[in-house]
Amino acid sequence: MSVYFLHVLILVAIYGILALSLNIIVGFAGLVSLGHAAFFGIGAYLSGLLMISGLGFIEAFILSGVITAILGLFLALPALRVKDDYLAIVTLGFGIIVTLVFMNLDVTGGPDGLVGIPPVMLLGKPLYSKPGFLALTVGILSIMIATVYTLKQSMIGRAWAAIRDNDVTAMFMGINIYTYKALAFITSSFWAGLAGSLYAHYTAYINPHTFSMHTSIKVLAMVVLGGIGSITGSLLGAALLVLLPEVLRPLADYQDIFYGALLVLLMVFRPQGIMGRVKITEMFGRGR
Amino acid sequence: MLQVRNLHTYYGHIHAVKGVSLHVKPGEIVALIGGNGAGKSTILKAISGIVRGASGDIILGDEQITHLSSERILKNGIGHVPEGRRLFRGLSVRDNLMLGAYSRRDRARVRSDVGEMESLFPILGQRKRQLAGTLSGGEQQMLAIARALMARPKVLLLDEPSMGLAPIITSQIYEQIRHLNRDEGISILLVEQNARLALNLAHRGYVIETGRIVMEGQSHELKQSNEIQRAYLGKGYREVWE
Amino acid sequence: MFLQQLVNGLVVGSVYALVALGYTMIYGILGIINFAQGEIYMYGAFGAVLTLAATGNLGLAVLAGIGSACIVGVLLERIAFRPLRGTHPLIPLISAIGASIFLSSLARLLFGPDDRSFPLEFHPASHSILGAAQITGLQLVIMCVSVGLMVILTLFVNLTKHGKAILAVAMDSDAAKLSGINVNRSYVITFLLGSALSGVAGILMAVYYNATSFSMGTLPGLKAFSAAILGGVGSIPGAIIGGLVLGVAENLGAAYISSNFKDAFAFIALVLVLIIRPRGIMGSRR
Repeated sequence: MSVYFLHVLILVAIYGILALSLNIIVGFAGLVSLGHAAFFGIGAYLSGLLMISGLGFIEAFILSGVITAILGLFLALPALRVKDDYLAIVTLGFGIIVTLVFMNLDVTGGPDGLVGIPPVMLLGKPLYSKPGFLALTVGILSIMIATVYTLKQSMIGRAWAAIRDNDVTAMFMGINIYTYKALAFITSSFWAGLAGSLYAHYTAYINPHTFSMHTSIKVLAMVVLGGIGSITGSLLGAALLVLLPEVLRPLADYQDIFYGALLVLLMVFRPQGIMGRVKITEMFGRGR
Repeated sequence: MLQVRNLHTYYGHIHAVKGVSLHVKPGEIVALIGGNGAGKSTILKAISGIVRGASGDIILGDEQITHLSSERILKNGIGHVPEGRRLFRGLSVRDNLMLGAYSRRDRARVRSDVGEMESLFPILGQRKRQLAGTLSGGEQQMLAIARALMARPKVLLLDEPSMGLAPIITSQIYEQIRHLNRDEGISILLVEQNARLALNLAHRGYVIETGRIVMEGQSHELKQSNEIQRAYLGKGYREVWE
Repeated sequence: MFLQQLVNGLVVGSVYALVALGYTMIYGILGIINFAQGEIYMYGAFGAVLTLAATGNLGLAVLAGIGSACIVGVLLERIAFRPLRGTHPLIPLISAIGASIFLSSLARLLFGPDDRSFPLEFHPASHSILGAAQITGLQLVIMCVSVGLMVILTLFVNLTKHGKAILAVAMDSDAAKLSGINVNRSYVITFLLGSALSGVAGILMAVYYNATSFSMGTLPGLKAFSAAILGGVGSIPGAIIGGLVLGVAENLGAAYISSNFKDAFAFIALVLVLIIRPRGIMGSRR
């Protein structure tokens, strides 16, 4: 297997985790989040900085997930007070603010980013081999899929589905929508943070541009393309949108044009994405 | 005047109206009665074009209006006072009336018609600059009817005009409806849950249950029928219990 | 210093208000967030700049700018929004995001990645206000144009038949249909008005910052949207107030707290207002 191919697969796996994490908010709970790359970035910077200051990989990995989740909660607290329609702009604003923070703090290296991030250390030995890293990433992705799947079928998942369909009705049924929505944010940002950690230790160098609004939209596109609410869909979406720029590299200038058109055409002709079995209106109900 | 033949409507997969046929002759008041969710409002909405995708025929005079846009249906002479009144709450009474005449070009006559409405319903004249949302229930109903009348319809569809109103106000409104029919010659298709009121006003009636017409006839006949009395007029319970 | 920042903030804020008006009208009548409003602004600027460079006629350039913005707006409504009417709000939102990306990257392809300066030199005179601040002739022009347009829009919406029809459709589109109002036409008129305003805003900013580029609309669009929400989305006076508040907040924040985070203050202001008043300043229950 060529090194390049392995590299692409690793990226697919990492973005798969990221896309699936966004799907928890958008697909399961039915909320709009346009700043998801911020959590990706927070996880990456945190993990990188933690390991640079001497922590082991496992500690840095777990801590970055947990701290990102806590920050997700901090975002959720004010964000969820506003109407769902406004959530989009609030999460977007959050994303922009976080990017600005990355660009302006000394500790994060400013616009030039963070260099010299240590690689993953397992059993005291650094993991440089690509197949090894791929195995690690796929392993974590598998754990995530199992967890998310269980969550979807659980009472929490059903509460989310009720909220997604019509949150006022869900409230009348005794579901504390605020708590469940916050839970979606926390879970989602936890995994996004882990994805960021993996990314940081894989590439050894990160800068703020990777975690910009552009990436947030790209991840949203992955979720939508694959099918909102579908686990396999998110993975498929991640795979397609990581591979496509590689395949279309000679047409790199046209990439964003294609992207934008793709989103519009998808919404007009097939809003349920590739794997979506149900018409989105049925899945989401008629809302308010 | 207005003919509905074999109307079927669907809400997604739900078959709401199942093969309804009815008609309204010029100058008639026809009542559509039945319980909640029977499909009465849906029939009106299909006639006025709010509900789309219906199959069957809807004919006004000699023109097929089945698939026309609501705007065109209105221009052809059908007015619809929707359930819940649906006024433009943030606009004034006067503005609501003027918007009722949106499709008309004859500005001078529109202005005199506003005057007519205000004399027909004096309250509206007094409150002409007030926001429609601040009116009482009865006043809102009058405004809703007046707004529909501003388009000079030949047929008026009235959806539950008595809903949420006190009995005194309701009888005032019904007096107005009777006047509109008798003196202005407007044909009326009236949907009501209050069967007694409806049958007292109308010449003829149809009874709808779960999307189908189960009975029709002159209103005095319907009033006498045992089934109607038991189901909608509250009589005969003792017989049923025993 | 404070007064100066206030003045600068009001100038920029009035332009935000113009774009915010477009957002608020479209949201009010269609219930959708037009993420591509910033791109309409940008195309307005390019229309004017390119026409001016080609013909040297400022009047023609302004008309061309407004025209370009309107064309983009109407096409947007037809292609990205009309087919999605009645669907869950997430769907037209994503469509709008896609349209925004498409339009800005198309502009990058057509016009190149670099900034263009405005093809006309302005040497505005500076006037003193209360001895504590300066306002340039250009800033005055911008404010006058913006305020003038806001007044015209408000008059149109409140006094004309078509304007009231738009309000009616926003309040209850079914009832509007039953009153004989052509709802589609109202949507198109709304988009035209919003696009024209954004186009003018784009032209004004192209002059003010002397830089026109494919990406000039993204951030101002988002900030204008925040302004619309802050002021109470769906409310025309709200959008005006929101824009002004945002412009001032941004400038004061940049001057007194940190200029690096200038772009953040708009969103911070939005969150603060929403926490205190979740419907926005002039917002009403929808």
